[in-house]
Amino acid sequence: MPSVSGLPRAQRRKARKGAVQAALLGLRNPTSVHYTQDLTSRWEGIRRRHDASKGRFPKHSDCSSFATWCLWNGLQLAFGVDDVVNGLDWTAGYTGTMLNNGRPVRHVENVKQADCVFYGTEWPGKHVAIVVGRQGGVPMVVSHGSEEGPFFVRYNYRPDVLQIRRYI
Amino acid sequence: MTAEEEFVDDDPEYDADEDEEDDEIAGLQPANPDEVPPDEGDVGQAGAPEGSG
Repeated sequence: MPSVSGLPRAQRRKARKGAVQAALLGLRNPTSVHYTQDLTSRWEGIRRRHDASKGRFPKHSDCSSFATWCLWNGLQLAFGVDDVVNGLDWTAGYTGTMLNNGRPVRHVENVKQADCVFYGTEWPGKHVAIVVGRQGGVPMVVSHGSEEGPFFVRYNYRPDVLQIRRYI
Repeated sequence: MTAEEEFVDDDPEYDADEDEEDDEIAGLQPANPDEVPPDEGDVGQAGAPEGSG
Protein backbone atom coordinates (compact mmCIF):
# COMPACT_ATOMS: atom_id res chain seq x y z
CA MET A 1 0.00 0.00 0.00
CA PRO A 2 1.33 3.47 -0.80
CA SER A 3 2.25 5.55 2.22
CA VAL A 4 2.21 9.33 2.06
CA SER A 5 4.19 9.64 5.26
CA GLY A 6 6.67 6.87 4.52
CA LEU A 7 5.65 5.06 7.69
CA PRO A 8 4.98 1.31 7.63
CA ARG A 9 1.45 0.10 8.26
CA ALA A 10 1.68 -0.44 12.01
CA GLN A 11 3.13 3.03 12.56
CA ARG A 12 0.57 4.62 10.24
CA ARG A 13 -2.12 3.16 12.44
CA LYS A 14 -0.54 4.65 15.57
CA ALA A 15 0.01 7.97 13.81
CA ARG A 16 -3.65 8.18 12.86
CA LYS A 17 -4.67 7.43 16.43
CA GLY A 18 -2.29 10.09 17.70
CA ALA A 19 -3.71 12.73 15.39
CA VAL A 20 -7.28 11.80 16.32
CA GLN A 21 -6.41 11.90 20.02
CA ALA A 22 -5.18 15.45 19.54
CA ALA A 23 -8.29 16.53 17.64
CA LEU A 24 -10.60 15.05 20.28
CA LEU A 25 -8.61 16.73 23.05
CA GLY A 26 -9.24 20.06 21.37
CA LEU A 27 -12.89 19.18 20.91
CA ARG A 28 -13.25 18.54 24.66
CA ASN A 29 -11.80 21.95 25.48
CA PRO A 30 -13.69 24.45 23.33
CA THR A 31 -13.57 27.26 25.88
CA SER A 32 -9.78 26.96 26.14
CA VAL A 33 -8.97 26.62 22.45
CA HIS A 34 -9.37 30.13 21.08
CA TYR A 35 -9.60 30.95 17.41
CA THR A 36 -6.93 33.26 16.05
CA GLN A 37 -5.17 34.04 12.81
CA ASP A 38 -2.33 35.77 14.61
CA LEU A 39 0.78 34.52 12.88
CA THR A 40 2.70 33.80 16.07
CA SER A 41 0.11 32.44 18.46
CA ARG A 42 -1.68 30.28 15.87
CA TRP A 43 1.40 28.05 15.72
CA GLU A 44 1.96 27.71 19.47
CA GLY A 45 0.82 24.09 19.58
CA ILE A 46 3.81 22.94 17.56
CA ARG A 47 6.26 25.64 18.62
CA ARG A 48 5.71 24.78 22.28
CA ARG A 49 5.56 21.06 21.47
CA HIS A 50 2.16 20.51 23.07
CA ASP A 51 1.84 16.72 23.42
CA ALA A 52 -1.81 15.66 23.25
CA SER A 53 -0.98 12.31 24.85
CA LYS A 54 -0.06 14.29 27.96
CA GLY A 55 -3.21 16.38 27.80
CA ARG A 56 -1.52 19.46 26.37
CA PHE A 57 -3.10 21.47 23.57
CA PRO A 58 -2.73 24.91 21.99
CA LYS A 59 -4.82 27.69 23.46
CA HIS A 60 -4.80 29.55 20.15
CA SER A 61 -5.11 28.29 16.60
CA ASP A 62 -7.03 28.58 13.37
CA CYS A 63 -8.34 25.77 11.20
CA SER A 64 -5.11 24.89 9.40
CA SER A 65 -2.77 25.29 12.37
CA PHE A 66 -5.12 23.13 14.47
CA ALA A 67 -5.25 20.37 11.84
CA THR A 68 -1.49 20.58 11.37
CA TRP A 69 -0.90 20.34 15.13
CA CYS A 70 -3.06 17.20 15.25
CA LEU A 71 -1.05 15.60 12.43
CA TRP A 72 2.23 16.77 13.99
CA ASN A 73 1.30 14.82 17.13
CA GLY A 74 0.80 11.66 15.13
CA LEU A 75 3.70 12.08 12.73
CA GLN A 76 6.55 14.19 14.06
CA LEU A 77 6.14 13.85 17.80
CA ALA A 78 5.50 10.12 17.65
CA PHE A 79 7.77 9.06 14.81
CA GLY A 80 9.98 12.01 13.87
CA VAL A 81 8.43 12.34 10.41
CA ASP A 82 9.43 15.41 8.41
CA ASP A 83 6.78 17.99 7.54
CA VAL A 84 4.72 16.13 4.94
CA VAL A 85 1.73 18.36 5.73
CA ASN A 86 2.91 21.84 4.74
CA GLY A 87 6.48 21.21 3.56
CA LEU A 88 7.77 23.98 5.83
CA ASP A 89 9.66 22.05 8.50
CA TRP A 90 6.64 22.28 10.81
CA THR A 91 7.17 26.04 11.23
CA ALA A 92 4.24 27.44 9.24
CA GLY A 93 1.46 26.61 6.86
CA TYR A 94 -2.09 27.26 5.72
CA THR A 95 -4.69 25.58 3.56
CA GLY A 96 -2.74 26.38 0.39
CA THR A 97 0.44 24.62 1.56
CA MET A 98 -1.62 21.73 2.93
CA LEU A 99 -3.24 21.35 -0.49
CA ASN A 100 0.21 21.32 -2.05
CA ASN A 101 1.26 18.34 0.07
CA GLY A 102 -0.11 14.89 0.87
CA ARG A 103 -2.22 13.01 -1.62
CA PRO A 104 -5.90 13.33 -2.53
CA VAL A 105 -8.49 10.68 -1.71
CA ARG A 106 -11.02 10.15 -4.50
CA HIS A 107 -13.76 8.12 -2.82
CA VAL A 108 -15.48 9.08 0.43
CA GLU A 109 -15.75 5.40 1.40
CA ASN A 110 -11.94 5.29 1.50
CA VAL A 111 -11.55 8.21 3.88
CA LYS A 112 -9.58 7.32 7.01
CA GLN A 113 -8.99 8.89 10.37
CA ALA A 114 -6.62 11.88 10.21
CA ASP A 115 -7.41 12.63 6.57
CA CYS A 116 -8.19 16.32 6.06
CA VAL A 117 -11.28 17.76 4.38
CA PHE A 118 -10.82 21.05 2.53
CA TYR A 119 -13.60 23.49 1.78
CA GLY A 120 -13.82 26.21 -0.84
CA THR A 121 -14.10 26.37 -4.59
CA GLU A 122 -10.46 26.38 -5.65
CA TRP A 123 -6.88 26.44 -4.37
CA PRO A 124 -5.89 27.65 -1.76
CA GLY A 125 -9.18 26.68 -0.15
CA LYS A 126 -11.07 28.52 2.58
CA HIS A 127 -11.21 26.03 5.45
CA VAL A 128 -9.92 22.64 6.58
CA ALA A 129 -11.07 20.08 9.15
CA ILE A 130 -9.62 16.75 10.30
CA VAL A 131 -11.41 13.40 10.10
CA VAL A 132 -11.74 11.63 13.46
CA GLY A 133 -13.83 8.63 12.43
CA ARG A 134 -17.25 7.66 11.15
CA GLN A 135 -20.82 7.62 12.38
CA GLY A 136 -23.19 5.42 10.40
CA GLY A 137 -20.58 5.23 7.68
CA VAL A 138 -20.31 8.99 7.32
CA PRO A 139 -16.87 10.54 7.91
CA MET A 140 -16.93 12.90 10.87
CA VAL A 141 -14.55 15.81 11.36
CA VAL A 142 -13.34 18.12 14.08
CA SER A 143 -13.50 21.63 12.68
CA HIS A 144 -11.97 24.71 14.31
CA GLY A 145 -13.19 27.65 12.28
CA SER A 146 -14.46 30.09 14.88
CA GLU A 147 -14.08 31.14 18.49
CA GLU A 148 -16.98 28.87 19.44
CA GLY A 149 -15.16 25.81 18.08
CA PRO A 150 -13.85 23.22 17.72
CA PHE A 151 -16.99 21.40 16.55
CA PHE A 152 -17.73 17.76 15.80
CA VAL A 153 -19.64 17.67 12.52
CA ARG A 154 -20.24 15.58 9.42
CA TYR A 155 -17.51 16.02 6.81
CA ASN A 156 -20.03 17.67 4.47
CA TYR A 157 -21.47 20.07 7.02
CA ARG A 158 -20.59 22.73 4.46
CA PRO A 159 -21.70 22.40 0.84
CA ASP A 160 -18.35 23.42 -0.60
CA VAL A 161 -16.19 20.32 -0.01
CA LEU A 162 -13.21 20.91 -2.26
CA GLN A 163 -11.02 17.90 -1.61
CA ILE A 164 -9.99 15.27 0.91
CA ARG A 165 -6.26 14.67 1.41
CA ARG A 166 -4.11 12.16 3.25
CA TYR A 167 -0.82 12.86 4.99
CA ILE A 168 -0.33 9.59 6.86
CA MET B 1 -2.18 20.68 -5.99
CA THR B 2 -1.83 19.64 -9.58
CA ALA B 3 -4.32 18.21 -12.00
CA GLU B 4 -2.16 15.18 -12.72
CA GLU B 5 -1.50 14.07 -9.13
CA GLU B 6 -2.57 10.52 -8.34
CA PHE B 7 -5.39 9.79 -5.94
CA VAL B 8 -4.14 7.61 -3.12
CA ASP B 9 -7.03 5.19 -3.51
CA ASP B 10 -6.43 4.79 -7.24
CA ASP B 11 -3.10 3.11 -6.53
CA PRO B 12 -3.24 -0.61 -7.39
CA GLU B 13 -1.60 -1.41 -4.06
CA TYR B 14 -4.15 0.56 -2.06
CA ASP B 15 -5.55 -1.36 0.90
CA ALA B 16 -9.04 -0.04 1.54
CA ASP B 17 -9.44 -2.25 4.61
CA GLU B 18 -6.55 -0.80 6.58
CA ASP B 19 -7.87 0.29 9.99
CA GLU B 20 -11.43 0.06 8.77
CA GLU B 21 -12.49 -1.98 11.75
CA ASP B 22 -12.16 0.62 14.49
CA ASP B 23 -12.99 4.05 13.15
CA GLU B 24 -16.56 4.26 14.46
CA ILE B 25 -16.94 7.22 16.82
CA ALA B 26 -19.40 6.42 19.60
CA GLY B 27 -20.73 8.70 22.28
CA LEU B 28 -20.28 11.98 20.47
CA GLN B 29 -23.27 13.98 19.29
CA PRO B 30 -22.58 15.90 16.08
CA ALA B 31 -23.29 19.59 16.03
CA ASN B 32 -26.21 20.71 13.92
CA PRO B 33 -24.65 22.43 10.89
CA ASP B 34 -27.30 25.13 11.14
CA GLU B 35 -26.05 25.93 14.63
CA VAL B 36 -22.35 26.05 13.75
CA PRO B 37 -21.14 29.64 13.40
CA PRO B 38 -19.72 30.51 9.98
CA ASP B 39 -16.09 29.53 9.64
CA GLU B 40 -13.90 32.59 9.65
CA GLY B 41 -11.67 31.24 6.93
CA ASP B 42 -8.02 30.42 6.96
CA VAL B 43 -5.13 32.78 7.54
CA GLY B 44 -4.21 32.51 3.86
CA GLN B 45 -0.81 33.10 2.33
CA ALA B 46 0.32 34.97 5.43
CA GLY B 47 0.39 31.57 7.15
CA ALA B 48 3.38 30.55 5.07
CA PRO B 49 5.41 33.74 4.70
CA GLU B 50 8.13 33.70 2.12
CA GLY B 51 11.24 32.14 3.52
CA SER B 52 9.48 30.41 6.37
CA GLY B 53 10.69 26.95 7.19
